[in-house]
Amino acid sequence: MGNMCPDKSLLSLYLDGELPSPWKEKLETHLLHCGSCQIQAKKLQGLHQDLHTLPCPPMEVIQAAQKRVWQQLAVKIKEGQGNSQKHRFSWNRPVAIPLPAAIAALILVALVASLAGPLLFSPGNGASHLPVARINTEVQNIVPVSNIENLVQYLEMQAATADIVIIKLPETQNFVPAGQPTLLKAVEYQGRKKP
Amino acid sequence: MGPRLIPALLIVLTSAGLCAQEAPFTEVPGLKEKALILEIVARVIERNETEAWSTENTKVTIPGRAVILKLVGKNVIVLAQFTPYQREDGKTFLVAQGQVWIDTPQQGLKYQSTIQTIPINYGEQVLFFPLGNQTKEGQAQIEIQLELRPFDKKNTPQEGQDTKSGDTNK
Repeated sequence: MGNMCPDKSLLSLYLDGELPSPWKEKLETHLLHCGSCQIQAKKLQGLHQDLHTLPCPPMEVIQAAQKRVWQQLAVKIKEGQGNSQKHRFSWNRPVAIPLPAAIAALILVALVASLAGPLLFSPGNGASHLPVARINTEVQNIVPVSNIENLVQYLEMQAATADIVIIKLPETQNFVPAGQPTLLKAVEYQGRKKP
Repeated sequence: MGPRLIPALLIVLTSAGLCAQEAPFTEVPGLKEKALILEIVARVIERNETEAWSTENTKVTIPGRAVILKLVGKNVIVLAQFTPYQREDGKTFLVAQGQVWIDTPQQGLKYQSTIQTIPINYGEQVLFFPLGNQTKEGQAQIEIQLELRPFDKKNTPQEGQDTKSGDTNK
């Protein structure tokens, strides 16, 4: 049978008169020129004829055969159940739950999820309302060094000469603590009138 | 390496390091666009809540880089750090960290520290009171006014200090 030859099942369908157009005509054209398909078709035709011409066996023989098949099937099914029970016992069997119990279980799950959800999924244990600093400043080659050792020295030098604004307060003033250090917007401060 | 070469190399390395420090970071491409200006006005508020003394400073920084301020008085030292930063959603915040050493006749030498964050818009004024803002009659207080705006080289005054009264140095 060549690469372009039809499948055996198509041949069988054709011989049974079940292959529709235009496949039927195409197959007939192919059969005219393909020796291997002609042989295959003849074999299938012979089998077809044999099945129709064979004498029907007695009813006792048929019943005995059926009995044997059912017995073998019963053994196979029993073996299969024994194996599958180990793995699929709880999943394949329908479980009957009373409706009130099912509703109570659903409510319990929802309650636990609502209580545990914020604790599990909020960053920083519920501190999500606080601003989170994410400073992504990436600039290459701003430090004139080529390795880590030089970088350490450079940073030490920078720290020593840090850019600090030093303000000398008036010598005449004595200060006293007046509560906790406070940071607020000027528009919200009512303590002093603007000069 | 010969013994004469070592001092020469040290001089070269030191001068290279100093030059690198002196170069303003706003000249570096990539940082200039992110640069911010922090305008600082430090005031001493006297009795009757009148302004007795003030000094103005302008510092250029970038988000995440602190501007450090040290105020030295007769009986107080305030070390304050102001760090602006921008969140991914574009909102700008200012973090104020303060350390205060104050010597009073009643309590002796006292140390206090704080860190606070506040949302800030460009041009908006924020006040930091390192000693607190509950002023009492006859007691001088320190007020630090902060204002943030984006860096614009054309309209930006030189970094520095301008004192209206009192002695200051940088």
